[in-house]
Amino acid sequence: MSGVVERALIIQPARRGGPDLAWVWRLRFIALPVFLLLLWQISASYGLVSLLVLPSPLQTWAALHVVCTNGTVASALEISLWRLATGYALGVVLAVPLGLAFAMSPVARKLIAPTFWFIVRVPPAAWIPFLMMLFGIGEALKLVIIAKAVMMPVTINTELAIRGIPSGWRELGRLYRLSPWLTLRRILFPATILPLFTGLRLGLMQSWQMLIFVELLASSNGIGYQLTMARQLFQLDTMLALMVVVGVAGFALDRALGVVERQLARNFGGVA
Amino acid sequence: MSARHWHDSRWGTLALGLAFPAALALVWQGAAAKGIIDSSVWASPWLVAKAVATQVRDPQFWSDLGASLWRDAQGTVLGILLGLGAGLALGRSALARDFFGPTLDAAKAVPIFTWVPLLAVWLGSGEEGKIAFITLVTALPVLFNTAEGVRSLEARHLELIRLYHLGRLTTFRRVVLPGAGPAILRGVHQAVLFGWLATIGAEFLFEAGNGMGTNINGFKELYALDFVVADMLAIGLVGIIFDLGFGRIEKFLLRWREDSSP
Amino acid sequence: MTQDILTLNAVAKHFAVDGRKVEALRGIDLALRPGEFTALVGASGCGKSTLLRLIAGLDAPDAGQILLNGTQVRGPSRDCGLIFQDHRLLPWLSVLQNIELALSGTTHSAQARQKLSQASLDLVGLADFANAFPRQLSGGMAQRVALARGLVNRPPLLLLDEPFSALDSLTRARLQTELLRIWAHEGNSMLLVTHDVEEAVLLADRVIVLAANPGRIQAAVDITLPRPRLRNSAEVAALKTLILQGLDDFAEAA
Repeated sequence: MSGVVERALIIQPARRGGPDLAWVWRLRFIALPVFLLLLWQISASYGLVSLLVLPSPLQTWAALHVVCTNGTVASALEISLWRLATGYALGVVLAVPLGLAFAMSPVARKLIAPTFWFIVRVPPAAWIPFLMMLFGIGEALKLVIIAKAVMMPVTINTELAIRGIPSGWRELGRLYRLSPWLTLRRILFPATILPLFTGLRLGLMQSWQMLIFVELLASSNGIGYQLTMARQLFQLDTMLALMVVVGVAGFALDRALGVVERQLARNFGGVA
Repeated sequence: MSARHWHDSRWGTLALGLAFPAALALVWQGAAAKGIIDSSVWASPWLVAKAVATQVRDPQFWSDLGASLWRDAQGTVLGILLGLGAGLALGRSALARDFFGPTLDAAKAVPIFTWVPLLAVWLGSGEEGKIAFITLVTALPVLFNTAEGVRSLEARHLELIRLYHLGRLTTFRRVVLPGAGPAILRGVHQAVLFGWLATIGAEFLFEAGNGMGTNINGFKELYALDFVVADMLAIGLVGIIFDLGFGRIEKFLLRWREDSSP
Repeated sequence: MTQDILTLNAVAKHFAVDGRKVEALRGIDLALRPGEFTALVGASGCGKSTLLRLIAGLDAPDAGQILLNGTQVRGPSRDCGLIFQDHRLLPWLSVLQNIELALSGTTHSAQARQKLSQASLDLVGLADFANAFPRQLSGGMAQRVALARGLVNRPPLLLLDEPFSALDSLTRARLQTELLRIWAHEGNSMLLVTHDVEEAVLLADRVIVLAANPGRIQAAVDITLPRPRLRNSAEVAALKTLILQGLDDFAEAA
């Protein structure tokens, strides 16, 4: 009871503005983007900034329309997302067993973890010349860079997930003589799914970052390459339009995973 | 359960950690010696060792490493300061959070490298563009961690501010800063690591200048895999020194925490 | 007759819980004399902690008046110390720094602050722990430091919000004796909130019984037994039974 009262004390809603303006207040989060957009358009309209350096929002919008309708975005995104999916899958397939091994065998951990850690700490950019010499600038280079980006968060979170299972729960399985299948289904899976998913989500965002990086640097197709092309051809309106596309795609990817994570938290939340 | 194993000692752990790379090196060296791989293309650990020895004596290597570190330091310090300021403001003010929070949150999902072409156009592809990029990369983790740390200060600790009439300075120095300390340090730690990644990345993405990126790329053009690997080891070593060094600092600053000391 | 140190007139407080209005306190009248040790007992949820927070100035009442030394309470004041149920020491400050925090904003010099804090620490018997961090203290020691922090301003009134309820019974007994010693030494007024009737009877000059839903004063019992009082004495047992019965009667009537 007193707990309820104390909480009520903290969540007393702050009333701001009149009741009829409440919806305006609720939209305050778009104030900043709208303000920036206006500032951008005004500075373009009055020639405060050269259009060569910063095209106007309307120009960018027009360019966005062009790249979205002439197939540039569709074909580039298809290539990039396919690349992302392959590299990501490769990374996860390597990282999950590695994380399991680290969690279950101290010897395996001590044997491999320092090397793994060193490999991870070498910046991806420093890997690129090495990998280029080994694989050329073909698809393999990109897949390795993306897979490597996935591996660190997924390995670490897999290990943490397994180690995080309270020993009491495993004892519970032994106490009631649960079959291995039932132990997995009723104890191990629900106890690890959330931290595991956190790793998968972080891994995906990391690999998305690295995809853009490697495409900017060493690629002849994909959305990152289109961005570099636009920069080199000095088509700044197209460049800004493509930046918007990359941003929106990353945002959508992140939000989609967020929805899955919330659903998982709802189902297995008591566990985390 | 807690029986001691042979690998529990410091030396055992060290030996195991070295065994794996040593085995890899042996296989590589053996394959090169037996002619299974062509050592003029694939190099060999012995050639890499010689390359390391050459690089250590080469003033060009040290001037490139110095240039990269100096660039990293400028961008990272600037980024940490900006991130700290913005993060504190965002954490302390609910109004600022309402207005800026969602936009910043959305911006997090945009790959940081997307900004590179724009920075290159605006600031040029030289030193300014690179440092601006490093600043951007390092400011974001500090900003988000600081804001979260300050926002989640415990209400029971904040109550002491009112109870004892703490002034602004005392509040900041004694309550807010140390209370958000673990989160801030986590952000700064990330910034220090990301800063080095961004420095090397920037040297590839922007126009070439002095630096380790140029150094390593030069050897790639010469197709000298042994020197490329030597440079990679150097770059990785710097990253690890940053990581371990900052870990030490963090541990010292957070010595009041229960889990930070036995 | 001297002026009361604390006066409450018809104090009321309610909260909004899920949009409903819940009455936490209704028509509380209370007066504490200087140097008096008062205990406030009641079942959990009767609003005793809420009442203490109002007196400390951490929350404001919806109706009624709270006078401390004859002036209305408008916020936390140095004349009124508060000991929480949890020790609430800042984990990143040393024991001495935690106590000094309570002196910040006073006119004392840095040296004087340190001396006063050390003296306060001596008073609770932890002179040697000035440089320790809170995590290195046991629960009982941490609560003593909290006591030292509450006392360092020499407040004429010290509020204690179930300060010993999280401690084991041996430590609790020792700290109760300690509190009486400190009270005798300081000569200030104490207002102790507790759900432990025995604790109230052992320590206080007067026990005020609070009823729940809404919280209001049900009875006040003067304890005239000489100190030190023995936990197992018949007198203490009788008073305990009397007060507990009062609480029970009310619970049945409700």
